[in-house]
Amino acid sequence: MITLARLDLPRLRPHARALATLTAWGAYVGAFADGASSPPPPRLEPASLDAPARITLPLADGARIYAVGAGVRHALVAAADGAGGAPARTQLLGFGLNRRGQLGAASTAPPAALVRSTVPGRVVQIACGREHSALLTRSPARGRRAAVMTCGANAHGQLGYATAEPFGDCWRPVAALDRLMLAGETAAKVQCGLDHTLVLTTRGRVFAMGWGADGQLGAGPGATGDAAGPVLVHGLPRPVVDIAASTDFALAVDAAGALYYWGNAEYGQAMTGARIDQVLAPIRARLAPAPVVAIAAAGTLALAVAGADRSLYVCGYGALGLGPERTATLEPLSIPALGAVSRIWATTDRCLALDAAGRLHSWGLANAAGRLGLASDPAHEGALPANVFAPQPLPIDPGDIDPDLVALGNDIALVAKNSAVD
Amino acid sequence: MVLGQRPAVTTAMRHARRSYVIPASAQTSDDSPDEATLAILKPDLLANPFTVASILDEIHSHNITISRRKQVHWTWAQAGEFYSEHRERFFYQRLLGYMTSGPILALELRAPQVIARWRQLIGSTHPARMRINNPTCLRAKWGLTDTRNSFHGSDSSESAAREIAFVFSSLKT
Repeated sequence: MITLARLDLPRLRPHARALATLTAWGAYVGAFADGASSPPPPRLEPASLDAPARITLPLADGARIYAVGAGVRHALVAAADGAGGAPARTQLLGFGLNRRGQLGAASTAPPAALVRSTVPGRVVQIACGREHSALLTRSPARGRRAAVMTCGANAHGQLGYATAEPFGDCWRPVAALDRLMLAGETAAKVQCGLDHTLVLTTRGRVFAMGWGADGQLGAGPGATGDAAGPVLVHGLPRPVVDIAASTDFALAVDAAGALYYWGNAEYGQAMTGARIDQVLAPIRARLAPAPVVAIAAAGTLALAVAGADRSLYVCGYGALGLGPERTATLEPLSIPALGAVSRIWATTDRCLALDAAGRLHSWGLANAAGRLGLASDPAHEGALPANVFAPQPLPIDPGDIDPDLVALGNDIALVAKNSAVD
Repeated sequence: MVLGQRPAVTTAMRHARRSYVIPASAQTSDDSPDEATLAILKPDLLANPFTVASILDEIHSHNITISRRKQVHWTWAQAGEFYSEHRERFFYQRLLGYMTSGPILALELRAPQVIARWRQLIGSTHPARMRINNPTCLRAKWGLTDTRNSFHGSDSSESAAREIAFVFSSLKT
């Protein structure tokens, strides 16, 4: 079904202790790999991991991981005591680039140093952009109302504070959202493009803030300006149940399973049969199989899982997943090799899919810093492939994957799992 | 690019080159005169000091001299003047939004035929296309999107002279 962030988590068995595990690949995570030597000196860039491996972060004993997020060379893990009910506060551990405070606290420490921050309540979901981050949280103090909290770069207003501050180096709520909510409405999912932020509500409305030069905010005909506070995405005909963004366009699915698109479509990724410079208000994508049950935005290509057989469809340009001979399509094409797909993730020029057997498959362009997690190319034994044009299974035990705890950043990927131990 | 393995270039050939844009693949004589170009490392690159250091190392490895450098955070008006030739293009607003989103690092590069060579090193303004078609160029390695293409290189000797004066004139910045 639709991959909305879960607002209410299943509880662990009473009296069970949480045991959280993290698997990671890509930039910087080598510093946390099990068996890694001491952190590198500040003048050296931290090591990457070319293939998925267990990493260990200094979580409190018995802590449960509530959410993970990754952007452009920065990543966040939200954890709190997993024994009781909803935690009163959640700790965030961040690493990677932090020039604008996108890790939630000001720090000049090198990228392998952990940056700690805390927020009230439970973190339900994390989304990260180029140099900003966003959280969806719930706390008893706010009753049934979720909060969206942001930090990092604000050059385009992507933090939603309705101020001209160039950045914000601590978590602060997007207060303006509260004033826009209708009775009984609250935030349900947050997504970050590279320099903008989208919020889906429980009433199926979508708000946007930040960079809008290519219509990323979907604010309507003629609207290419930035917005420093949340603005309503214009003209979605029916309530929306899911949104996806990672670069400069957005996908949305409505309650009837229809797919909508706005933002940059220069590579024909809007599934309209044409390359369009800028889509300033949502348009209906032409994807025949219905309903759409999962979506992901990968920069120059768009992905959707649709139809009763849960096939994955791709449209646009790049590593589509259809081999090196097929790098562009203006009409959606399915990737039959994957079979039924349960979840998908994407970011700039790379994709990740979870198949029906619980295996993760990776493909994409530019395997710099091991971001594709495929240390060896089946076609070129021993070499780190530059581009991977067809989905390749990642060596991760399906038992180590919670689909709600997967973060695919530009250069960093995190996969977490909570287990209960008596 | 391999240096030091170039055939001799006659004075006439060198003279002829001045009248048109030299193919980036053209080989040069070791004694051909230095020219200057303006390179810019754009705001997304400056988020990561390791990336900047790596790019500066790569520039040096091609025997290109960095004769001047300046970090500056452009205003909208300054970026607009720099890119005034694109004023009527659909991407003008997003280009200025990007270029004013953070500080940039401007470099005056000097080497024989450095205008064409630097443009060849960075590749075209489509990072995704470069990752497939020209994976060793700088935009394939470090560029993010067509807008956030991470590098600038002057496109002619006239542009280079104008842009270098614009960036390094204390009156303008």
